[in-house]
Amino acid sequence: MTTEKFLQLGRMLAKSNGLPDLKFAVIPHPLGGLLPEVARTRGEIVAQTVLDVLKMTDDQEEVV
Amino acid sequence: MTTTIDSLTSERFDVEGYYELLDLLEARSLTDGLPIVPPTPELVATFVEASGLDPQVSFGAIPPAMGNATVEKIAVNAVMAGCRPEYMPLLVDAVALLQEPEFKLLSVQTTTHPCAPMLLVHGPQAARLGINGGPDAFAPGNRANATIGRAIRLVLLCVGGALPGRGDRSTQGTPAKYTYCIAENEAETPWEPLRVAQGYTEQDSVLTIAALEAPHNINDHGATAGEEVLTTIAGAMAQAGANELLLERPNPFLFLGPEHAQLIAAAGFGRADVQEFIFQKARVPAERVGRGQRAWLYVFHESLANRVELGLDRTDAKEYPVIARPEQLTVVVVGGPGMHSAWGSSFGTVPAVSRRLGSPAAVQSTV
Repeated sequence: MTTEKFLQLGRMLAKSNGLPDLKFAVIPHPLGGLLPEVARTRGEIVAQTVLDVLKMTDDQEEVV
Repeated sequence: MTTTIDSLTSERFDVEGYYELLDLLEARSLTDGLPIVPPTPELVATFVEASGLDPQVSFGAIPPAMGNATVEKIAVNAVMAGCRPEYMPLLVDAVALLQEPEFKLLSVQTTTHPCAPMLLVHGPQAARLGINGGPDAFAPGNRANATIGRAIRLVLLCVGGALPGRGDRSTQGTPAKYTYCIAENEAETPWEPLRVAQGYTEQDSVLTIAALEAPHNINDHGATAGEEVLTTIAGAMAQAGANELLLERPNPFLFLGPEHAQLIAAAGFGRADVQEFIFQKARVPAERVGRGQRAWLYVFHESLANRVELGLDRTDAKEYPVIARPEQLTVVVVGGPGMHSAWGSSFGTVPAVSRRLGSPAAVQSTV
């Protein structure tokens, strides 16, 4: 899982560690500086994104 | 051992001129942005030879790109940085030390925090190699300081892939990422040398590497007693935005100018007393920290497994200590005349790491 701003680094790390096909759950940036209600909404997005990743098909590279 | 250019395996390029070479390196992201010394096979072979090692001996994969840090690759980057061949054994030791697991090089390379590996060379080798620990130790003008630090940065960039905005995700970066190499000013240290305090012998030369921000100046021209200097230092380190406030085991450095150090020692303070003073006095009043950051600190400290053991239940803090234990501060004398010191704020839970120079290198494989 990564925020959208760090997806490129995530892909570099996956590739350099032998997992070029690793699938990513991409969540909105940033995570810091959020008001509580925004953080709660963001958490719900993250939870849904994780669920979506678990249901990904092989031809999908990421879930946004 | 004689290293020939035939034993080198790096990709070679034919270029028409010097500026074409610079353009080629820029296009391939093999640069810190400054001009380089062309790494011809002959020069690279000379540098490999100076290491005393086979060119394909590997010091492991440098994250995040996991490029293979062979002696040959270290030599290429040392040539590019403008090093002398005799720096090679130190550079090999430095790359091996960066790979110590507790140094967490992947995190150091990729963090948003503006830190860089600071190389502190102490002991006889520092003088032998001409590394400056006196006036302007952190400044340009000294070849060893400038090029040894730059060579390590080039290894981190070109082998490790810590490219700005890609493998290196620092929010703003730091000029310390160009080069960050100094010596201890042992001649003007009023206490035992740092390496002896670390458990090494007087005869040992030691390399210490810490992931630090660029030095923050501490000016106290008025002090007439050691406690006055330490009070100013503690006040300077007690920054609301200090990285240490978030950390369970920070390891900031206090670079004492010789005049400050001698004033402090004259008042009877030893190195451990300095650490204890800073631990007690370098505290950030909670009201100086923004509300959201206080909430962040609350959550973060609540999650620390050993906060009770540390004796610092900081979850309802009225103030935040910069270091959680006295020994987390490393105290070293650096610089020349003048009433200035500096401190280097630390990254993450990454301790400084040290090794005796010339000790058996952590060779991981031969490829």
